[in-house]
Amino acid sequence: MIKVLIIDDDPKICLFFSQLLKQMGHEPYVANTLKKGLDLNTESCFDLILLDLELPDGNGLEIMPDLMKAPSGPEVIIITGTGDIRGAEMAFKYGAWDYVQKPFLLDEVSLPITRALQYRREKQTSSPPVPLIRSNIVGESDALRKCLENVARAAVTDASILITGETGTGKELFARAIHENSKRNTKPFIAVDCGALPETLVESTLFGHEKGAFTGANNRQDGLIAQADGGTLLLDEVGDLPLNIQKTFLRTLQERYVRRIGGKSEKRVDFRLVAATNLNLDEMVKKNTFREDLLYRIRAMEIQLPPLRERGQQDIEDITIKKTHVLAQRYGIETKAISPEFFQTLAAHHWPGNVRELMNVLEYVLASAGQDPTLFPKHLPPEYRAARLAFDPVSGTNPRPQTVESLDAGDDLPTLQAYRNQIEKTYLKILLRRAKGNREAASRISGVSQSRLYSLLKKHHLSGFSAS
Amino acid sequence: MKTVLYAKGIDKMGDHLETIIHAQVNGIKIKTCTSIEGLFQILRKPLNNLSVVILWIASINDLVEFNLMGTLFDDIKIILILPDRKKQTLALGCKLKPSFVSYVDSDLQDVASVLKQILKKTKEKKQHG
Repeated sequence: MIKVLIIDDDPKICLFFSQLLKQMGHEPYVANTLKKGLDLNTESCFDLILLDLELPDGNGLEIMPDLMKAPSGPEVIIITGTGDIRGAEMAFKYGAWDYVQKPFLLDEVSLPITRALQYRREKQTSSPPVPLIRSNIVGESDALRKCLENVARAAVTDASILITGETGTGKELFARAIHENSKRNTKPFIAVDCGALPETLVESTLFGHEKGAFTGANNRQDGLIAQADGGTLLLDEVGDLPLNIQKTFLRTLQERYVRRIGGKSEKRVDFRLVAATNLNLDEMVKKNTFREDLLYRIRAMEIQLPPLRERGQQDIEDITIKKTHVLAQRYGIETKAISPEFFQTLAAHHWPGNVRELMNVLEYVLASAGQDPTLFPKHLPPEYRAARLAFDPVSGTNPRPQTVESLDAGDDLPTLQAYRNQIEKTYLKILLRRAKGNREAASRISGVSQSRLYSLLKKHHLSGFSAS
Repeated sequence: MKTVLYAKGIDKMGDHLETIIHAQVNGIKIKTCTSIEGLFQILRKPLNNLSVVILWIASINDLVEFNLMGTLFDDIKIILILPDRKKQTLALGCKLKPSFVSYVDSDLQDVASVLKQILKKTKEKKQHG
């Protein structure tokens, strides 16, 4: 029988759902607090969880990742009376099936329940996933695994894929992984770096040209689209594609025919498109710098790559180990041992340049370490070492809790929100130090759940948990 | 940011390309390398600060050797100048993940303008973190 957990503090809602679920032939369980919900989810295997957001002991979103991590991998439907767009976005980011606002009609809740369970049934009966060729993608974090699942899903289709993510997150690596795991993997993988091409060269590079089509076209030349025939075409930095070329490319994408510049005949091409960008294409559409119809075409499926700071310390460690090994081989030196303090210092950094930045730092580290057999924080560039000390970026002083009395000393009284944020950030920095980056210890000392701690650290742009 | 031109056995044409590049990209310093071993040494050097490599391919053998150099070209933008327009040559060249492909019989202005664009973009990226 299908088991459904209702986490809601409103007895009427619980009763309503219990009756509805029984009528649907399912077995309902009720929890009135987040803690009870987590406990029940640990004790029993649920197929579906109906989760309220406003509960006496916190916000339902705080425990959602933990609920979904249970071995049964339940689907979650958010039921809330205080919904807002940011909450809904966060819920969907965490993987919620649906977001239903109170008050609701019977159909508005029974249909998502039916659909979520249908999806779950189909997922369980579908064939087991095939092993994925990772193409040098390193890491085991949840955020990365989600992306790899999407790569596997993308690879079995021929749909156009848009890969988005901050600079240095490895978009090309993921594009290559899609190609290598697809049925086109024996055919060419052609990457076009749209950002590197001046406007005058984009068209001929993509479509090719006939002899004499323009000044300097001394020979007939096929373009890279034709070169990708049978395989995969990666348009890297697709946001840099000039508007006039977007129009021509859209036609090629729709009709799968390509015509050289100055040519009269068209040639059929069969390619799978993967596009990548670190720009917000939706914003570009609003500003009329990117065609909406092209965006619609290239985004049949989107894979959003997480920034390194959201992948956790374990991924940073894994990448560091792999990269130092590769670099040591390249430089012809012994592989280095790495101290825990070195890893902790890396984890304290924000990594705006993501994996690429980490790789550059490791290159520096190996050069500065010379013949030293073990890597310590002293081998890092000074600015990276300072990050671990958790100086206050504004005042430049060590974190020190401000007393309430001292508030009255200055002329300006901060807003309550600003004051609360300042105290919260200071507390978290001290907590991280005291707990030595251990998440369980931090949770125990603070009395705050691990997932809540994560969201607080993220809010204040702090990092520092080591793997447990 | 360093730019390296690999140009083996093509002295005069290499000089010609450098002249074109200097005319388009103000103040650029190009290190010329005339052997695969020399290029290999540069790529293996820690903190080489290398951002662009222009590979003037004189023979298909060079292309095969570069393809065997594996991860040495990671994070380096490649501009490839191929010896002919055969499909197989281009296919082999594309495996190096070049940012741009040109040909020995082109006027080489395209190489200079792509190099200029890449250096401009790289500088912008560095400035914006």
